[in-house]
Amino acid sequence: MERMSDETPRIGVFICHCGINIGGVVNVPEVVEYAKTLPNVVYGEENLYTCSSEGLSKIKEGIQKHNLNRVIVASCTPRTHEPLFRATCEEAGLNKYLFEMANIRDQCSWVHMGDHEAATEKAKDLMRMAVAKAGLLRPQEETEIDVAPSALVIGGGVAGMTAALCLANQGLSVHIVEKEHEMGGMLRYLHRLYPTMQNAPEVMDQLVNAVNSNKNIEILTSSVVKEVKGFIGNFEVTVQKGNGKTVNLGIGTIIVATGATNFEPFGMYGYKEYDNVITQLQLEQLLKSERLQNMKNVVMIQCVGSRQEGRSYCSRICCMTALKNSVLIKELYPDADIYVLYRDLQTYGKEYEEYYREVQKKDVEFIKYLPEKPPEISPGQNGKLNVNVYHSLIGEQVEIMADLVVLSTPLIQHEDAKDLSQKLKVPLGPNRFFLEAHVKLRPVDFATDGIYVCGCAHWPVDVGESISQAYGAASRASIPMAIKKLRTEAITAVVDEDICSGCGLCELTCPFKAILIEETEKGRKAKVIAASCKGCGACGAGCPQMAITMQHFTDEQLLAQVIALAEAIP
Amino acid sequence: MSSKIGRFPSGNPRTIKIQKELSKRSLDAEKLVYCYECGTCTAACPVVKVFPRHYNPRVFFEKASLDLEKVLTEAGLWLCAICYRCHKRCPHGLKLPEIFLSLREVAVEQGYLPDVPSKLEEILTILREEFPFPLVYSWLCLRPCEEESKRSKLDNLVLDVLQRSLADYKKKEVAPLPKVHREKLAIIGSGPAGLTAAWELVRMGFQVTIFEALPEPGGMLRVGIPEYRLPKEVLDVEIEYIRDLGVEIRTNTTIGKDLTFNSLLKEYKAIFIATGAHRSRTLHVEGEDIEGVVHALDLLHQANLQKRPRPGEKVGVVGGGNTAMDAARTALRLGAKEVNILYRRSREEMPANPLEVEEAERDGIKIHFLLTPRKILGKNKQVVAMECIRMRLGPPDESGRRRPIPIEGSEFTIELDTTILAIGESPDVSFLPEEVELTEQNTIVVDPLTLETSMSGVFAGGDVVSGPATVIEAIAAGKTAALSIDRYLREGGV
Amino acid sequence: MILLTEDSSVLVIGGGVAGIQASLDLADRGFRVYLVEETPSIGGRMAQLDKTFPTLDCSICILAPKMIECFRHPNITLLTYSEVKDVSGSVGKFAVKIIRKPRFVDETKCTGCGTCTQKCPVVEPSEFDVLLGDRKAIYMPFPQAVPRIATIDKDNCLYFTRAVCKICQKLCQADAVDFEQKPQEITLNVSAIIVATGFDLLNPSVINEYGYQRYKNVITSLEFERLANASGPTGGHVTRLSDGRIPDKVAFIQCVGSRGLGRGVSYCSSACCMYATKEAILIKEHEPDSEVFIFYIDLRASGKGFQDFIDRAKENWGIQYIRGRPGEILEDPRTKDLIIFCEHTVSREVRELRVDMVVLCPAFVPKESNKKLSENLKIRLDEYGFFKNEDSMLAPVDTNVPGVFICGCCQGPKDIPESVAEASGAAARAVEVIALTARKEAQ
Repeated sequence: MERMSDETPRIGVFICHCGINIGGVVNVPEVVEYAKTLPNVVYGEENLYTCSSEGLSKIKEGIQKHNLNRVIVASCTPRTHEPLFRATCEEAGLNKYLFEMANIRDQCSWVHMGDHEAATEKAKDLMRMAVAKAGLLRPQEETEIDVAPSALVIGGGVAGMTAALCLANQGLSVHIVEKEHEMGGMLRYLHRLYPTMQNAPEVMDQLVNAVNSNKNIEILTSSVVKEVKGFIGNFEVTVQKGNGKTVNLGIGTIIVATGATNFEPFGMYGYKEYDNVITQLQLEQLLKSERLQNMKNVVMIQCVGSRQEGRSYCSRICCMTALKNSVLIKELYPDADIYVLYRDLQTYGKEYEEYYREVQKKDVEFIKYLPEKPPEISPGQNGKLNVNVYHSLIGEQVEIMADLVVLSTPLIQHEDAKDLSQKLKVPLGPNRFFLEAHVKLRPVDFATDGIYVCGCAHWPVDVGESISQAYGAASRASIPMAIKKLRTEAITAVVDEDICSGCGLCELTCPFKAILIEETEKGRKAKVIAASCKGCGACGAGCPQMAITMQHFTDEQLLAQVIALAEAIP
Repeated sequence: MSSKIGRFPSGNPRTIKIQKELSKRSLDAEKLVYCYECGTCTAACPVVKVFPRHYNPRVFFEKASLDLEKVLTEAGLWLCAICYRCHKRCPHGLKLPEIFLSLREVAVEQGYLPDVPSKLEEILTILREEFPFPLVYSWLCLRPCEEESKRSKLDNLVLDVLQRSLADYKKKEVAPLPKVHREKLAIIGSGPAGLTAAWELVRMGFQVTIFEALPEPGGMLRVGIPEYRLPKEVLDVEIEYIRDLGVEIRTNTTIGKDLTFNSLLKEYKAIFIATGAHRSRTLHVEGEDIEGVVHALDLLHQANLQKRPRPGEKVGVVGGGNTAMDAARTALRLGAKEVNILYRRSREEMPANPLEVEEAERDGIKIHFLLTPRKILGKNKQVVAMECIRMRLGPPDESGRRRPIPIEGSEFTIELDTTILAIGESPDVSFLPEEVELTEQNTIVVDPLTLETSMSGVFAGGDVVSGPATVIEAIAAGKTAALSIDRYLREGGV
Repeated sequence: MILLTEDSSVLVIGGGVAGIQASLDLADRGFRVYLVEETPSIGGRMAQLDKTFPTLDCSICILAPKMIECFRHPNITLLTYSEVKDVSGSVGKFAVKIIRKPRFVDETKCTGCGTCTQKCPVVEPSEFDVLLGDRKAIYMPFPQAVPRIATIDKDNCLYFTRAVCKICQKLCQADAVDFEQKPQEITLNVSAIIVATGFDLLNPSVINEYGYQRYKNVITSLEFERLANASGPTGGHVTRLSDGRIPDKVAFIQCVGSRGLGRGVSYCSSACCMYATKEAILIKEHEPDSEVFIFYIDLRASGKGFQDFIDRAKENWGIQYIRGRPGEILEDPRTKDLIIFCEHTVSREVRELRVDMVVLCPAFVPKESNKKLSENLKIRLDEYGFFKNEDSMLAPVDTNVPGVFICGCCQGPKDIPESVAEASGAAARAVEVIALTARKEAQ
């Protein structure tokens, strides 16, 4: 039975000793007595361990016996037991948001262990503040939203297809939207994949066949995402197909797997100036189509267009690609001499260092050059190219008469990524790669709920790493769809549309894209998407009209706490 | 600018030949491809310390991979002291010394070095700038084969040049150098460290006296290194040269017996302790005192001082270091019919230079791994057999090497009549006052850069600091000590 | 339409960040998860770190909320201080025997107040602090330990060794100490198993010339993390072990025991170039006037934001990167300073560098316990002793046994984001395989 909240507050206070953690520093009985003198407090008790089953029973007892409609526990940090205490209140019939915690351990007894008197006074201050807020608390409701059991994967390359298959095999329905007329992404241009030298077309065909024959997957090639509305579980996606028609999809979660493209180094090292200066990707095409001519000296230059001013990142895959292509050239032409001009060799991890040794065994020569003394290309005799480089580890210039110069260039983000990011309302980070929610612990999530990312759209990675990330993204994306319903956060922002001027600052501020400006009959107004709102308060803090209230942290409540604290200041 | 030929570039007939020759002689030449130029070899190399301008093994081998024929004409090819310090530190464990040796052979035999004698003369000139005994050093690092019938073309050329230089040396008139400074300096020990320090200091104009306990100077160069590796005649000539420059060497003078250390402190402004490591470690097993049980250093000592010791017919050498190899090979040359080496760990853990091990095996000496003696059995006070137990390797100890653990019940007996103990040498530091701090292994604690001990004005270097090591390391220490002493005297404290 | 068998449950072995992520993904989906961890608390290596690269987040601060989520999640059962004894069966129906080692503390009663740990008279080196700091015989490994339950180290407890004391029991106001507790064997029936047991660091004594354990001021990177961590043995002050002084000059040595066909291991440990840079920045943050050097061979910074991190380290913090692997480190006997002899390969000079402290970055190596676990689960180990995946490209988290998956560093060195993504991947594969198996059986 719900306790009415519009009645006069009847606050019960439970102060925890936490063994000696609090009780050994703060004079808990004194604080209990003090609490009882505060406005609206009708009951107060001390517990040895409020979080113990005994303590929880006492809370429930207290609520029943004393008709409490607000509960305060003064103990440890909310991070540990707030959900537990809230659940306890709920079990006793009290709305769980009519509960408040005062942290008199981490923020009091633990940091003021040397001064018991002061700690006790501070505990009283914290008590007073909690009581002031508790009196103004209102019950909140969490709502449930349905999740459409259908995923959208944007991008039909190796990452997109892997994620789609994983989801489909779990029984979920998946739509893949691919802007090219065929699936496969970068795999279409690759010949062999390191370090196992698997055949890229075979890997691709395997995936494409699997995707084509899976009943749960719908493929839309030559199609692009035109518009995305809604929020997690309830996205409305409009896809423009190749034939000009549009189709609307009801989507639960979205995975961005749009991959990347290869940088073309115009103006660098004679690219497009000399016929025999090509990129690794172009070399791959020649190897694939068996059009690579016999040659004596091949020079590969690493870090062309990356790790420099304007594009400072390392593209991760180019060193291994150069090594792999060296092996392929040597297979064709065992007498070829290959020189790899590098800055730092990225053969990281368990397998790639071993691969490096395999390549060294094939007599590929590695020459370290310095960024301030890059190699120089000039035309030589008989169409050969004179590659002159300062070998930084022996301190001498080395000259190579090259038949072919291969430039290892970075993967860069697609031009249309910005467009997509705006449609999805997800951010692009440095170098325009999609920005995840947290670099360490949420590498495949976006901060916006319900949207995930994997593969080169996120950062240059190789095929194996893309597949690994794709499985990761599929896992994350499947969760909302698997549980079918999502409980929304009760503590959200609320907009007073009468005051809202539609300025849009809140929309710019929100990291979760949970508040958006929409056209209404009253004009442009901010609308909160409760399902996505995390209650962080950034919009509320920034609103110049003060039209946004944060539930459970209203201005009124917060000011009451400040005033309560200030009472102690003479 | 160097023009490209490339490492064993496929298709180039000349360098294919070099590659083949190299693989015949040295397995590690194939492993050389894995070098990623970390520089540990160069950082660990004592020759680099002495000749930074002329020698850098890492750069040498990288250049070899780019233009092998060119590096075969460089001086760097000849300076490696074959001390194997690089091999111990290299992440891949590459055996650079043996590659150097192989390349030297290839250079001469394949005609890449048409005028070997002038090359060697060039090397000697470089050595003379920095070394007190370039000929001794050359004999040690060029390693000409002792047996005439087995000598290679290179060995013969080397011997020609060295013998000629030796003859020139003998004829040379050398005047003592001027004594510019008033301070008198004392050096205890006339091994490579002591002699090098003396040479440096006398060139700087100091008055130097070396105190040597044995009747003849040279330290390990004389009593440790066998004649087949270093003819004593060469040592005599070069030590004479150092004496001629004005260094006083007082032989048969033991500090701690004939003179006290404190008396040296009073008379000399600075002291360099370079007494080496000549105390043999004992096995602590039953029967160690039976006749026929010899310490390796004693055997070498006697052999090198021409006392003609007679080992028995069946010899067992206990140990796995360079001394064990030297002792085993010396025993063979002194007439033993069968020589066995017994080492308690496996081949990979042997501290001896892999080359010495290889040569010992080529001599016909058998090396037995993973066993250790438990008891030495005698009859009529003569050694007749040795009871041994098999070992297995457990987890690594503090030195990082795997600890040998006896396998209970695996005892067995080897018949022999001589046991040579070569399980390690430690310094005799009984003559030092308490103020000079020692490690647990009885070596002297020094500042790693200045080589000063815990007693002001007293320096130490060579085996007495590092424990048993190589000649080149001792030479490097001697040079460092000399510079340190000079600085100490000028600044009145280091 | 998702097919879940009625009691679809998954066993996750290992409570580090990978195990935690896999557990949460599965639990959020409605699977029952048993998370088994051999130490008293989950958290693994990430809990031991001070900060993480490249964001310089406080490591435990970002991990602890996930740890607590595991603890509180209705679908996750934490089985800490427990080990896998035996596994039988096959995908969809594995039977796993778990041994719950006795903590001698009743989990249902202990509130983690910490009184017992304060009063216990026995002091032992703390494993969590890599033996640099102390703990008691009754202890919680670190302040943010989950579950927050005390554990008694039987081998050192006075009651168990000499039948005296029992102070903890006397003082415990929750009456939670139970010296009679016995090991408990439980059998779990699970549909799939995820292995996420993590890694160890090579003991760098094997590279003897760097002086680890011979010189007090040569430490490993993990020891550094504990020193830098505010809840570590020095309260977050990076000080020298010889004299407690704050170092002015610190050198990091990369690739200690990695990338070699000789001593140590032959692979690259992947994360060390980055974490050394992070640790170097930590030093500079604490002591802006200090000098920090990093001796490297190839600087591996190919992950997201990594190259920028290194550039900032160089330009903003003045950290000096020297390409070269030292030949030797010697100690000055008077000051206990260290002297590093290294060739600066780009200038071809061998130089001596005197520093106050040396931090070695040792190789990541597989845990010793992998062997036994691989036998129990019948999954393969690779030549280094890491768990082997079926295909490093196409099946990165699958093993040769259907239904058993691996993720994180137990299958090879990698950094945290890679471990987390892989862990989610393993969860996805587990679900996929469970669903496919269930569908097959239904037919």
